[in-house]
Amino acid sequence: MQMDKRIRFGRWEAIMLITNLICTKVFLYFNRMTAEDTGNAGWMMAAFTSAMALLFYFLVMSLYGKFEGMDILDIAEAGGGKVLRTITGFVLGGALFVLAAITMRKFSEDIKTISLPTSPLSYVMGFFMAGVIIAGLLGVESIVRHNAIVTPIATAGYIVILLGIMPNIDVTNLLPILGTGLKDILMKGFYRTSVFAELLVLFMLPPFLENPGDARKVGYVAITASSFFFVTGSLVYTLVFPYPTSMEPFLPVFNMARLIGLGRFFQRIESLFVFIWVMSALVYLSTVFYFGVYTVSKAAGLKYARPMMIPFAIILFSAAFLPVDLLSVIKIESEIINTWGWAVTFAFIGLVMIAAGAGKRAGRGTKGR
Amino acid sequence: MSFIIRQLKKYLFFEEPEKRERFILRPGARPADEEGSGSFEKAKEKKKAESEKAPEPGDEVKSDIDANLTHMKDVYSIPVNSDIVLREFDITYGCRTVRAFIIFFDGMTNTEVINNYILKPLMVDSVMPLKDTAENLEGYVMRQLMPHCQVNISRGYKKAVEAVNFGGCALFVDGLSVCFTADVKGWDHRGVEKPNNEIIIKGPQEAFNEVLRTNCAQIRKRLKDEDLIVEDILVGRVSRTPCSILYIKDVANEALVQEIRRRLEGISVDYMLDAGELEQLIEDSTVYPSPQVISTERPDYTAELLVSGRVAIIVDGSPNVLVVPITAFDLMHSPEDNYIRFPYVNLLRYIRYIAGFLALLLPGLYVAITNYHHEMIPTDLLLAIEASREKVPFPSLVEILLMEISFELIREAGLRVPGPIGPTLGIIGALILGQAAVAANIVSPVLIIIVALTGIGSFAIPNYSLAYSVRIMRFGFIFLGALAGFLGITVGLFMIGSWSTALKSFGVPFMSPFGPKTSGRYKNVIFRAPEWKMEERPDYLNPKKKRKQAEYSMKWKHGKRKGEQD
Repeated sequence: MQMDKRIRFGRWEAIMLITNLICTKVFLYFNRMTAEDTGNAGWMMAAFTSAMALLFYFLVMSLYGKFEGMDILDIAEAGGGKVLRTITGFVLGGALFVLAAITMRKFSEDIKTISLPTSPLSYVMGFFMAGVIIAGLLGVESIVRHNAIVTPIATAGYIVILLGIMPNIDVTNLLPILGTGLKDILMKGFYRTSVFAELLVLFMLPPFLENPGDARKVGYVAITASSFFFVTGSLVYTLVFPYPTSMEPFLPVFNMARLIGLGRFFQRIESLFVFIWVMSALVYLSTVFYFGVYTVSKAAGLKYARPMMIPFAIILFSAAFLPVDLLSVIKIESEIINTWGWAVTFAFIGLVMIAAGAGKRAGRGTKGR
Repeated sequence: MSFIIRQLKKYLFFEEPEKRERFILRPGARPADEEGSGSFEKAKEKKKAESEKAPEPGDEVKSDIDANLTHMKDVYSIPVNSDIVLREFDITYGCRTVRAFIIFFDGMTNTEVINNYILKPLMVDSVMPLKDTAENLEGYVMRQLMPHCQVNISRGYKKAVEAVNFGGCALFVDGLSVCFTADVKGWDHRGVEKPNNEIIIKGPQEAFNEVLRTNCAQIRKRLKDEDLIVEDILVGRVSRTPCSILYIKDVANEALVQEIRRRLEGISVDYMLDAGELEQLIEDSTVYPSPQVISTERPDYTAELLVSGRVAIIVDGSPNVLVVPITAFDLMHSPEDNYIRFPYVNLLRYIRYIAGFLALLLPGLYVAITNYHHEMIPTDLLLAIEASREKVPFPSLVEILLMEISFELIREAGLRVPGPIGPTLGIIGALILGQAAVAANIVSPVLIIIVALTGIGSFAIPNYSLAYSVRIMRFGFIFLGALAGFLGITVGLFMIGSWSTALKSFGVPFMSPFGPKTSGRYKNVIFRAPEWKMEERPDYLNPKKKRKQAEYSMKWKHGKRKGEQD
């Protein structure tokens, strides 16, 4: 164990952080989305999407070699000066805020539907906000360590659900095996690499890692682990719910948990799932929010991110109310975030690295902080 | 008004955060600020320099006995102070008589030792012919007239006064600008008794008492290691309470020991009377509900923790010893865990964690389920609960608060009630938390079971201080459960979890070895591995020696028997 005055954490913590960020959407909508896109072949699309994400990540990381140990803002500054750093910071910070706002709204709407139907949405969201603010004020060390504890527990809970649902499996649900067709699997699967959008937090992590060279491995392991959950989740979901039912626009994993019955006494244990789900959501929101504020602060050249937490939390709270209703949230999520997220995570970051590499060769830019 | 303006400004305008030294326990033995030489060597040099240090101006002992007499009378407010004894007498030195006086507290000293080994030799034996006539008066008194094992020479009043205040006596001799102090403590104290609070079935049955050196000896006699260091330090500007820092020199991280020295030296209070006070003055976070220091009354447990690379602090006058650093999981360990077989320990640990869970969350979960998650309760049980609650006029929150507060009242009263009327409290308690409350339709029978389970759960938590924190947090979870059901409880758990992961106990992350992850997580944290598998000390303590037993600790299993062929 290595400890120093500088805040840093190990590979395991980083893997758990990124895996939780990517996989939280399994609880929310991922399985339903794959069923909508490709019918019974959702699990194939999940596998293809994961493979594409690995390929894109490989391509981006092949540009990263020259900037080992630097985060994306330092890379931008090193190659393109303060202007590129500021642009990059605001784009990434903005993307993280959109993710945080939409996810918070979605989680709050779902919790309201499941547990607190008579409470106002702002009341439910207030609880999430309280958690996010506290975690943000306590800092990255706390967030990352909390991730390292919560993610394995959430994973275990998820696996219990998958195992508990086994008696309800019907193998014929997999047929027709290619679902809505190979074209959908490939085309929609390509766009759905956006589900790995949270990988952009990884590009802010290297300075915090004990061994900055671990960033590359962290990404590969996190993508592979997430792929496992995406594929198994989609597969089990398809096996349990026939195609028409699987497109019901409501929490897929929650619906699966509802089917679990252990004898006459334990018939409705899905509420227990709320614990795993809310905990996972809080860890997700606090991480995305913290890195959003951190990215914007660093891009703006501010020395401290902490004083920005409460003002940005208020902005986040307000932004989460911008979509008119749950259907608007689902639409934004499906048509914007999960369709074009790859453009920020892979294309934009790749372009910044190319620009930084070119700038560095031309002698432009300044030394990253 | 200025306070309000200051507070408003604090919220409206950004202020540069105050620079605070934040200690983090790193691997390697040397503290960051002392590259090149170990803190242990520095401490040695410092102690040596302190003992050789000349007294401050005005504090020097005078060679004139009358001046010394006046000064000591003035310091001890003689004759107003009635328990101080000042005895004047003469010493025969060669062919002349020298005036002297001795000063000590009655009741704090052993007068038999003073009479036989200090006064008698000085007053009677000095009349006998000198063995070494060349010796000066100071050497003569020190070497020949004070046949006592602990005598020191002091050149300043301050040290003499410190010695007298802590059960010593000071001897002043005319013509000498030094005084002699002897350790003649003799106050009444408890003997070594059985532990009162940390009771175990298997294992040693001795507890610490209030005497510093007895407590040190209790640890030393167990460890039998010359590398066990007992470093003394005085805490409290007025009380000058003697404290000892104990650690194993070749095991404990030097940076950790240095940090403990720094914190103890940095305490500026007039009086420090107990380990409980010291704990609050050295812990990392004073507002965090759980303790960040183990306070134990068991020498065997302290020895075990020292062996793992931790550091103990003994406070004179306190039967509890503080041990640092700790993690959240250490608080769920019992001293008995080391003495019973590992399958039993694991069972007991599961039970303790279940107990902790019940004590912390059960009332909150009850409120959450009855208010928000009825569907979770199987229909038969739901009908039974609802039928039992039918006549209760209160909502479940009020009902549970009534019972929990009553329970806390009974617990607190149970501690304060004089022995002879103790059974009365039991009867009253049974009325409140029992059938009478149900018959009066104030609470439902289910709730009595909930409160009883919660109470039993909190008693099963091995750390007394942690049980307190669970009691406090339980009320928080009851309110959160009432406010938003499982969502509220999960948010509460998340906040406590975030706070815990941000916290450190003397540089060690409080949630180690899971957040951050370090090695040895499955050896003795939640589960306990068999004794032969406990090969290494906790990684998060960064000890100097990682390994505490050989890879094959049961060599008899692997070695060949005598005369056995391959």
